[in-house]
Parts: sequence; C-alpha cells; structure tokens
Amino acid sequence: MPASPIMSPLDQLKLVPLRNAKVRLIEETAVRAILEVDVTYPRWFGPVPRLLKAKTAKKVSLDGMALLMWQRVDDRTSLGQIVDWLASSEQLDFNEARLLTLQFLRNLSMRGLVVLGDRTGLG
Amino acid sequence: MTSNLAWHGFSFTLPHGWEITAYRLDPRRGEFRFHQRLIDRAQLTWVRMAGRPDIEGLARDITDRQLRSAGRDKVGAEVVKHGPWLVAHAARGEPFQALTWIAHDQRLLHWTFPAWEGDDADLPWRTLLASLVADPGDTLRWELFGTAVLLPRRFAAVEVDARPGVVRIEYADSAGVSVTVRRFGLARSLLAERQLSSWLRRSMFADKGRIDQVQETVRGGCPAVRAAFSIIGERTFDRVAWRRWPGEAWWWHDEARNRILAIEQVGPPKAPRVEFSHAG
Repeated sequence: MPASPIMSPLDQLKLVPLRNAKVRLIEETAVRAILEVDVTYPRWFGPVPRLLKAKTAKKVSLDGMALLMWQRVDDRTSLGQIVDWLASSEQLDFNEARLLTLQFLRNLSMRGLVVLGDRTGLG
Repeated sequence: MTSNLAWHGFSFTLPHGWEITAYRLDPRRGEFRFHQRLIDRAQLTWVRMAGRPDIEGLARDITDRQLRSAGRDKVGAEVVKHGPWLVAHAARGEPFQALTWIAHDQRLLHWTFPAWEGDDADLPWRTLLASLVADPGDTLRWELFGTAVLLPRRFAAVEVDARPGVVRIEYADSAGVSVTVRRFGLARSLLAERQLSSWLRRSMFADKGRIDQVQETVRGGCPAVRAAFSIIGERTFDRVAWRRWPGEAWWWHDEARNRILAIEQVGPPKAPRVEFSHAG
C-alpha cells in the first residue's frame, strides 16, 4: 500500500477551510450561533437508523473563540491567514496561534461544520 | 514580539519573533529548539560536566562532525571569540556553533545556528549571545513560555505542561513546597465566559484544592484574585492522616498582553515560603 504523503507545515498553511454547505443557521446573536447539521451514520448501519427513526439532524451551539473561528471560515481565507489573524488579535506567537487554530478547526470539523480543503490548484 | 528565556540560572533575550518549539528540560542535559514562524533558527543545548572541557577543541570537533555527516569535505573550522562565547564556523551557509562555560554552575551552553552568514554586529545571533546573563546569586529567574518567576536557588523545575494557549510549570524544593505558575492565552474570550475568580475556583477544583477564602484585589495594576486554599499533604504520613497543607494563589489579568497569569504556592505548614505578594 503506498504511504500517504505527509504535508509540510508550509503547505498546510495554504489550505482553505471550507464550510459544510449543508449547515443551516438557526439563530445568531452577537455572542452565540446555533447551527443545524445533518447527522450521518456509518454505511454499515444500513437502514437501521431510518427504521429506528434516529434523528437526522443535530444542533450545534458556538460561542466565544469557536464562533469567531467559524466566522473566519468563508471558503476563501487560507489557514495561514486565519493563523495570522488569531496571532495578532489575541497577541499570541505564530506557532502557538497555528496550533490553536488547528485545534479549533479540528473541533469544528469533528462536529461536521468545516473541512480543510486544498484550493491551491484552483488559482 | 521579543521574549525572554531564563532556565537553570542562565537567561537570554530572544530575537524578535523567535519561539521555543521543542524542549527537553533535564537539568543535566537538555535542549530548546527555536523557530521564527516555520523557519528553524537555532538549537540551544546544555550539559552539566564534572570540569571545564576544552571548549575550542569541542567547537572544532562538532563543526567537523556536522560537515562530515552532511557529506562535506573536512574544513578546518575558524574559531572567534565574542565575549564569553567561542564561535566556530566553517563556510558561508553551513551550520555554526557558539559555546561557553558557566563555571559557577559547571554547565556548558552550546548554541547551533543553521547557517553562517558573516559576523555583523546586528545579526540576531550576535545580540542573542550578548544577552547572556548567568547570575550566581541566591535567587534564580525562571522564564519560559510567557511565565516568569523569581525563586530561591533551592527550587527546581519538576513539571512543564506547555500546550497552545495553556502553560503550567511547577517548581519544588526539598522541603515539599511547590510553586506553580500558569499562563493562559485568549484571556478576553475566557473572561467573557466567566470571571477570573470562577476560573480560579475551577482550577482549584481540578487540582483537588479546597478554597478557604477568595479576595478580589489588584496586582501590578492588573485586576487580580487572591485565594487561600489547602490540599491534602503529599508526603506519606500527611496523605494517610489527611493532614492539609496551606497554600496561596494569585491569579491576575494582564490586559495589555491579553493573558491570565497565575502563581500558586503550597507546602507543609512549617516549611519556609516564598514571598509573592509583590507584582513581578
């Protein structure tokens, strides 16, 4: 099996976080946003979730830094630009801001809200 | 931003934008690695030795070995003296070394920089090496990852937990007194969520501390919270008898740098304590 390529940190900064287009905004205030995202079940569950009438959507509430991070994800801003924004607005060192940004984006991604995409070939 | 590094009695002022990205903090043999954004800038290692080594021979030997391992022909390293430092370099663009011996501490400090670009006085490595302070005094300054504390020499670092945005470093002496310093980034977001005193209570709860008193105050012009607390003693008898050790904690919001800083001290009732009521 071929080894998966390891991306260098420099290439990683060129990635663009993309919003899940199916996320629906339920409520938004200055300090909080409530979003709704479709629930996906593993394929091997087959028709079981449908037969058991399992929920098809879940609500996610974002506030604080997670909300600010979500607002920065606009399908155009690269990871490097988000890191620079976080470092300057929160007075953090670059690498600390880089790791924090990755941590926040990983959390958003685990909730099905964003995905890190490579748009460098799109010009 | 410029930051300081003070560890095991030696200290440096780091050039603008340099960050510590890796560390090994063994007091006998440890190291720090430094990056500026994603660019590798330097490595600092320290070794405690029984006696002063032949520093010039060591510098030449390290340079030769580095060149050999990179497949280069052996080139005699040129060694120049800058203050207490011996700087050994070979060719332009090749890694170079700076070594010094701290006699009172029997510690060899060794910087490795990735590329020799000349000897101009305004190069970052020149100002970095010139900033060395190795004070043999009774108190040591410990400064790492945005935390800073001045402690009697009997204290030593026992645990470092450095995660992005959250740093916790614990120092202890042989009498069982421990001093913990903390630094939290994203302070404005944290304090929008809950008050400083509430964060202190949560931290104490996580550390199994019992808060006896909390007082809102000011420290160095910053809004602060001071708490008296106790924990179950950590020595065998105290642990068995559930004898409690008294402690004090200061947490404050450094608004200018957007950080929450904290210093906590706890230990056996009769053990001598460090004075932390002053800002610093």
